[in-house]
Amino acid sequence: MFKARNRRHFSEQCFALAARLSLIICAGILLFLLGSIFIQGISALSLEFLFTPSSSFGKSGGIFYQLFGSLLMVLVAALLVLPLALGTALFRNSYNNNTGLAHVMDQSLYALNAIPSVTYGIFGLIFFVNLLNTGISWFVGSIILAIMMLPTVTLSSYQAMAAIPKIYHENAAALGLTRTQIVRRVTLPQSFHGVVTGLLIGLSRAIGETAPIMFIATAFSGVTVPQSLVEPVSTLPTHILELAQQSTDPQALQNAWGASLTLVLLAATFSGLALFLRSRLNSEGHQ
Amino acid sequence: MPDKHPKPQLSLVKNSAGADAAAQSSAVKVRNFSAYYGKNCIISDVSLDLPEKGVTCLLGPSGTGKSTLLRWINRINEETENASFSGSINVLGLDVLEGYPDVTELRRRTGMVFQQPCVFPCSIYDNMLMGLRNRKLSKSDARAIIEQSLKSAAIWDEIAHRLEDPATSLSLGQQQRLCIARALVLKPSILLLDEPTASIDPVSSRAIEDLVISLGKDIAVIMVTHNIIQAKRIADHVIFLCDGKIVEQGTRTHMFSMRSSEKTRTYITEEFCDC
Repeated sequence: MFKARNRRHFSEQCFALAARLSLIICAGILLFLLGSIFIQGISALSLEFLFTPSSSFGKSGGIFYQLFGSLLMVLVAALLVLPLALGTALFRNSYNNNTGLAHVMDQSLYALNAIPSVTYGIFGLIFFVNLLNTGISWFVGSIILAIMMLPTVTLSSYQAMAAIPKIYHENAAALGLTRTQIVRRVTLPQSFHGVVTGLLIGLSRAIGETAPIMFIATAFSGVTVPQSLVEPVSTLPTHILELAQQSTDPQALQNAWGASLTLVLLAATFSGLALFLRSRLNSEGHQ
Repeated sequence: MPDKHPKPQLSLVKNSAGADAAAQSSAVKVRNFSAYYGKNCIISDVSLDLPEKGVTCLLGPSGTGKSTLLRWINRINEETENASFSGSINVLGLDVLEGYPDVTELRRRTGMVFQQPCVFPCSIYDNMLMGLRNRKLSKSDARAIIEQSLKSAAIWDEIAHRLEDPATSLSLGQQQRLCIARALVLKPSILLLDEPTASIDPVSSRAIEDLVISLGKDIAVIMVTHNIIQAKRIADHVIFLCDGKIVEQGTRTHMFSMRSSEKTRTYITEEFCDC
């Protein structure tokens, strides 16, 4: 009996140690990565770097048009994805009574989420650029990013809606509110934080994507502010890629670190806002 | 043009034998009603009449189908997955299915308050306004109706100075009275109460009981409870349900002093039911 207890104690110790080790490895990788980018990139980062256009294929100057291009594409993608994701989540939550269809919707969204991002780029290239003859267009890039964000935003919105206690719907229904009024007065206000959280998580992923927009929306250099929907832009991920190809040049490498840090900070801002909203949502839920 | 929702002329149902006689003047008439969740039969072949005015208590142990019956009167149970019923329910002279093709009209005529106080996360005033969204009222008219409803629910004096405060800042007892007031803005002919005092303290419970008695003078109040003492205090008419069937029904005097069923006697005196 004593031996059995010792053995159990030993196995518990081993399990706890393995768990701690996993945490240390994960945190270590993350800290090393972020620390490297921060240490290397902070010297390049300045207001001048952010607001000066690049020149000499990025070796000199800043990242103004790349920053503008990235923000333009993801913000337009957010505007495109929000109504679509919200509509899908509302249908799933408030209008659909068919459990089979709900299951198919869920599986489709999870499948869409698992598609490699380069596949979205190839789809955009074949469908928009070749078939619809749009040419390289930042707006097509936004559409592709919106499609890519769709599962994240939809699932997050749906989960926020599903988390509203049923008693709210019943109380609203008992007051004679129609289904549409319940959606407007109860479902949407109470799931707002969840929807925005999903959107921000989607944005933080989309802003760092290179593969889906590389073939269809961006140019490596020589672009400024687009004058129409069917013009290319330059974005931070593609700019970093371009600078990385010139890594033997110390100035290009320095700018690459600076652009990387800017990208990380942008993604972190979206994620941080999402985290803040999520924690606020949770604390309101516990009231 | 005939009135689409004629007001029935009612008298209180005195006992089970008098149920049919009162059927013509009932706020709610239930005939051969059975309710199901999936294949599980919760209520089996129940027929009853609920009077136009007064407080009717649906009394019985947990799981006997009291709330299910209540929730079918305004068809709120339609929102519940796998819920279905057979038989007929007639509310204010109209069949709940055929007479109210627009269920929202039925729900506006039958206010409902649930077991858990549930206020929406907005101001007290906006909570009260929720039920008036469908009516094109001027701000002053809406305010007058809201004030009247809050007075009827005996909560006006406590919250008149803080209508813009979040409704969640009220105590549970106040929240429940706010829920009753919120249901009253629609001026319902029937008020359905599903154990409204189950989750609040005794002092607030008594306030709600007084309110229920007062409301019962003007409209039909149908209240689910398994609190025998409470039913004794407030009911004009009691229906004792057990295992999805009506065991006995009648006036308060009949049920608490002249009851004929052994099951009723056991439940009322020993708070135990072996059905």
